[in-house]
Amino acid sequence: MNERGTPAGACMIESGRISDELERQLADLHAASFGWACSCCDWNETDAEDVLQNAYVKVIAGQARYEGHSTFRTWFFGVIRNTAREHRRRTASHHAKAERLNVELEASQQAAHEQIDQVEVSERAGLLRKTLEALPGRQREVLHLVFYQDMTIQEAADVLEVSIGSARVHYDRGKKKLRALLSSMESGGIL
Amino acid sequence: MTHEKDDDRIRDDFLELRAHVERPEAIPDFETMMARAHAEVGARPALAVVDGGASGSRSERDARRQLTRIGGWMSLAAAAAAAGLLLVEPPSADADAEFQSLVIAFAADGAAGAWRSPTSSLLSLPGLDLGSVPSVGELMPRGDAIRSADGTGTEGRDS
Repeated sequence: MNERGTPAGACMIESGRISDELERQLADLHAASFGWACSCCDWNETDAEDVLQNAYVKVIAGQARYEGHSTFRTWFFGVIRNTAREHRRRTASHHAKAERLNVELEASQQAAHEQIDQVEVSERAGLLRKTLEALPGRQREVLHLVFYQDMTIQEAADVLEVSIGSARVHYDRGKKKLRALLSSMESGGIL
Repeated sequence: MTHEKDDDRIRDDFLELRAHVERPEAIPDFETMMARAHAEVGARPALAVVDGGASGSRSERDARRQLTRIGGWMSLAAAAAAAGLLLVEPPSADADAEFQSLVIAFAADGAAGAWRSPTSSLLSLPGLDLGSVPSVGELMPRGDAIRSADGTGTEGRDS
C-alpha cells in the first residue's frame, strides 16, 4: 500500500490541517493503533509511542494520504508499520554512527522494559507475548492483526502489503507454531 | 483439543494481552500526541515549488524529458550491441596471413625483409642510373653486333 498518491475524494487533509472527521477516526483508532505499534516495536512502549507520534506527523503533514482504496484502519495500520520499519532502520543507523547514542538507547530501552515489567502482566498474556516473539515477523504480524485487532485475513494482507494467499500461509503456519509452542509450555509445567 | 477450541483459546489469550497493552494508564494521551504532531509540522520550514527557470511549458518539458530518456536508452542499447559484436566476432586472420607472407618473402629474398626507410623511394629518381659507371661485364655487346659495326669478322682476324 502506498502512503502517497494522487489526491482523491477520500483525502481529508488540507495544507497541514486535518479535518475533524479524520481526527475523529484517528481518535477512535488510537488505542488499537498503539497496540499495533507495540507489536511492531517488540512490545517496547516507548518506541511504540514514538512510532505512533511520527505516524500522526505524517498524516498531518500530508506525507501519508488516505485515498479510500482500503478501509481507514488498514491504511493507517500500514502507515504505522512503515513508520516502525523506518524507526528501526534509523535506530540501527544511530547505533552504527555513535557508540554514545547506542549506550543511551540501550539505557532507555532497559528503562522501558523495566517499566513494562513493573506492571503486572497476566500469566497467559505474558506467555503469549513471549511466544509471539519466537515467531517469524510476518507470522507474528498476521496473528496479531487477526486475533488481536480482529481483522480478516484480507485486511491483514492489505496492511502487510502481501497477497491474500501469502497472508493465509503466514496465518496457518503461525497459528500452528503458536499452538505447538503454547502446548509445549503447558506440558512443560510453565502454566 | 480441536482446532476450533485452540483458536478460541488463542483468541482469549490475545484479548487478555490486548486488555493489558491497552490499559488506560498505558496509552499515551491522544490529544497531547496530536498537539505535538501539529506543533512539529508547524515548525517545519514551508516548502514551495521554486521555478528553476526551465523554458517551455510543462508539457514541453515532459516531452523533452521523454525524448532524453528514450535517447539515453537507445544509446545504451547501441553501446551494448557494439560491445556484443566485439565480443562475439572471431579474431581476424588478416594479421596472421600478412605475417606469413612476409616470412615467405624473406625466405625467398633476404633483402625483402630488410628495413627500408619510408622515404627511400624519393631517392629513386628517373635517369639516376645513367650517371653511374657501369661495372665490367655489364651491358657487354654480343660478338655479331661488334662485327657488323667495324666491317671485319672474327674469321678474317683469325685467318
